[in-house]
Amino acid sequence: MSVNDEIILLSKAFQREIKAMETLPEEEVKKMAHENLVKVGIITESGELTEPYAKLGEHDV
Amino acid sequence: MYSKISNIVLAFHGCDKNICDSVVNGGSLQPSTNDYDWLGHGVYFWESDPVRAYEWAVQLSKRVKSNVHTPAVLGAIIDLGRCLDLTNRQHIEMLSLGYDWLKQSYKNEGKPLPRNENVGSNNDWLMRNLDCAVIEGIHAMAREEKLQGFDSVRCMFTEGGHVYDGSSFREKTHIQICVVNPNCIKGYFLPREADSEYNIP
Repeated sequence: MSVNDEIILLSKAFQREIKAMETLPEEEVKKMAHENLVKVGIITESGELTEPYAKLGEHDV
Repeated sequence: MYSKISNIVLAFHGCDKNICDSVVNGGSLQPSTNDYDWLGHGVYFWESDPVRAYEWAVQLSKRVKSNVHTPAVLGAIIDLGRCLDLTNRQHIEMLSLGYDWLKQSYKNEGKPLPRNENVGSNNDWLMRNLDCAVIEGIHAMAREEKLQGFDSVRCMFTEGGHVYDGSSFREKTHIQICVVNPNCIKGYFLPREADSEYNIP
């Protein structure tokens, strides 16, 4: 599959999930949102921020 | 690793001289995993710009607790592979959807969306927490959908002061590459000085 074909599929996946988060019942949406942020690596299953996101705002520059 | 001929670029990484020497002798660069990385997590390079890479190494050496004591530049031969190219309109449109998805996810989780922020008096949004999270979200969705995903992420950035009064050109404009798949890096080299007796082809 070409990169551009994959871009199309990703776009559709995002659109599908955005629509789902707009229309599904609240509890399902919360579960979906939580799983999304776990997948991205922002939070753990228990909802804690992961390294490096726990250090948001603390930077040595 | 070496049979496919395509999409090869020369790119440069600014770092300490010890790192350069270690890498050209068989080591490897470690991916950056900061929450403010401009193109998400991976190994960063300046495309075709050893001068900018050196400037970056010098800038790093001036930071408190810096690991860069002797600024140096490492060259890399990179096959961009399946590249998320943020100079491409279609890729940018997908990026926008990725942002919408992430924003909805954060909202429904009850957490504040990360923001890109300036540092001190610099106005170039050096800390790109939002952009980093969006790009990591795209990689996550590719994995979730069992797609091949992206080997690299590439974008042009304008940065720095205006070149002259009224100019739209900026002094530190550059193309940045973030290598996600280490197999994109076909080799490393130490940049050499040109031989002044000959033209540079």
